[in-house]
Amino acid sequence: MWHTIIELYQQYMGTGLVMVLYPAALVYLLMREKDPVKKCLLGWMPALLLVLYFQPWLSALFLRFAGDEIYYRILWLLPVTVTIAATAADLVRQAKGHRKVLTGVLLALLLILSGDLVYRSPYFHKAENAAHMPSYVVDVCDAITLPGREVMAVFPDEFLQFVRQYTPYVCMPYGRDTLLQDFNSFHELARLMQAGVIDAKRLAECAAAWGCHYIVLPEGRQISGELGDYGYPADMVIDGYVIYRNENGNFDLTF
Amino acid sequence: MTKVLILGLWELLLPLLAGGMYKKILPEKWGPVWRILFYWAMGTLSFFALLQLLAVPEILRLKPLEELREYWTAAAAAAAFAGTACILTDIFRERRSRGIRETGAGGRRSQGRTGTGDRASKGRTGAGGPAPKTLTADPAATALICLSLLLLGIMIALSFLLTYHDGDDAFYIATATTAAASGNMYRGVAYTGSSGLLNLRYCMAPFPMLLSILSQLSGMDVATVAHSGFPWVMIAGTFAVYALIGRSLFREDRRSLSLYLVFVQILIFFGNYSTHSPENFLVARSRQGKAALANLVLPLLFFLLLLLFREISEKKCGGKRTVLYIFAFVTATLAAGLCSMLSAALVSLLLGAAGLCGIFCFRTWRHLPVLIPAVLPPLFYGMLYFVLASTGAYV
Repeated sequence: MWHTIIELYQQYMGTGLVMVLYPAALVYLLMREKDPVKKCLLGWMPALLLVLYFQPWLSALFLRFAGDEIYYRILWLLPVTVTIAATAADLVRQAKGHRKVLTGVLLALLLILSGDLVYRSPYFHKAENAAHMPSYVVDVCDAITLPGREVMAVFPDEFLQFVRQYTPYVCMPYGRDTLLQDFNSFHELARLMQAGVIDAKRLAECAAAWGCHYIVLPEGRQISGELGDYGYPADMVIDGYVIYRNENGNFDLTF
Repeated sequence: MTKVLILGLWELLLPLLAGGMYKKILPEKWGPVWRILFYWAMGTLSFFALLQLLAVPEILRLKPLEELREYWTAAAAAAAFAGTACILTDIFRERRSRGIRETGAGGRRSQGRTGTGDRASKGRTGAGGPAPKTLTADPAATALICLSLLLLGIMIALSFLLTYHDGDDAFYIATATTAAASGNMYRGVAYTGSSGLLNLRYCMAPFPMLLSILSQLSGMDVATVAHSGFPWVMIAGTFAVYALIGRSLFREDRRSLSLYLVFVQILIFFGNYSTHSPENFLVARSRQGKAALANLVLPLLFFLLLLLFREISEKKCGGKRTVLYIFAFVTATLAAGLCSMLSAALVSLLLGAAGLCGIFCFRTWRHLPVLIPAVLPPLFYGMLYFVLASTGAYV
């Protein structure tokens, strides 16, 4: 239990010094602050919450009902940003004359160096449209959507996160949740789609059994056999993805 | 353009008006800018709270989204109307009393208006001299405020220009998209579109339904509302709440306040020290309930605690003001319920810790009549969850 608490705290601290600066700011506040309200809510209350966070009985209660991944969210109750910013502003206020500017600049630099620019995350991309969906998802979904009904399609992994955000009219035999499971409990279609060389016969049979109207694969994907020979001839190529259409699929609008 | 205006109406104007219901909580001395920020933040939370109150029973009774939308729009419009009435009543009352005072004093301008929350700050000086009355009176403070607003503007602009591909959107946004298109709330597996049982944990915190309703009201598709139409509200709302907290901490010391705002913006910009930090959630996952909880609701609860404890320390809270505070705190705790199921535990812990510290720091129990009722909504939703989960009818 103790190990989990510490591990989650370390994860929350991450790479920066912010969670080192925070206890320092907390101690500074408790020692120097005269305003009882500030001292209570920025000092004693977070200190109590920190003590509670490290209590094994509380973590046991949380882990039992909410799972171990989100115990760190108790740390959201700490006014980290407010405390550090208020302490920094107070330090600048106390500096005399020209030292004020120097203190302010140094503290700003310290905060910059302690953290990490949020936009440097590799998961940030340039938005391609107002819906912030990758254009290949928009184009492929627009191409296979039929007005007035849903269609079922099996997609490569890079689509799974976005398809159902963009349109509720395209259904999938498995979604992003499958990727979060271990490989052995994977959906059979997912395993076939992720194979080094795709078995065309098995993929077509399985997709048909799941009622898939379309199979979407990247151009150049290695396939043993032709999907067209098993009822899924290539229909169109969009943004580097080949869309195979089920020739026996039900595309009726009265479906 | 019409769609943007309608969305703006629901995200900006109507919450601003609804926030008027909470106007008497702010100390009288606080100027119009602070009032606007507070009205907007509280109004937004009141819309969240109304949705939580209405959505949970509607979802559990398998009602369609359209019905929830109708109830919520009516309730939100009523809240905006009530807020507007509160603001207008106060304006008329103030004008009338000013007229009486001016007439009574033979035309001499009255100097009688006093604040209720900042009396203790009188005489407190800023950076070694008398506190400036306006921002423009201190060029350094003005420059720093402009810098923090510039950083805020950059952050909002980047929320439109950049996108963060977060895996959880595959559930939350897909849930909203499915509900908006089919009218069915939580009655399917959002990841795939197949049918399934209600997932109780998510039904009890139906933040995605807000996106569905905003999408239906504005005519924009859900993904556009979620990724372009909503993040700026979160970013600007967070800034507003941090500014209000700063105003409460530094009172009339405008220079320290402006410095504080710049430091806050730097901490948010460089908040990627961990993927779990609220700052990271604000920038990367601004359309998710968790981000709203960490950055908007919890800081606003903290701000309300600051106001309450300030009044307690000055021995002012009691009577009608206790009722006002209960109203504001219950709004915030209900809003927290909309954002995340975990908020039941987090809010209870926060208010419990604050209550305990309040007793020891101020040697009084007078804040407990406010904090105890405020904890009841999260406790109710938490208990409802366990009762319903024990029936086995839900996932």
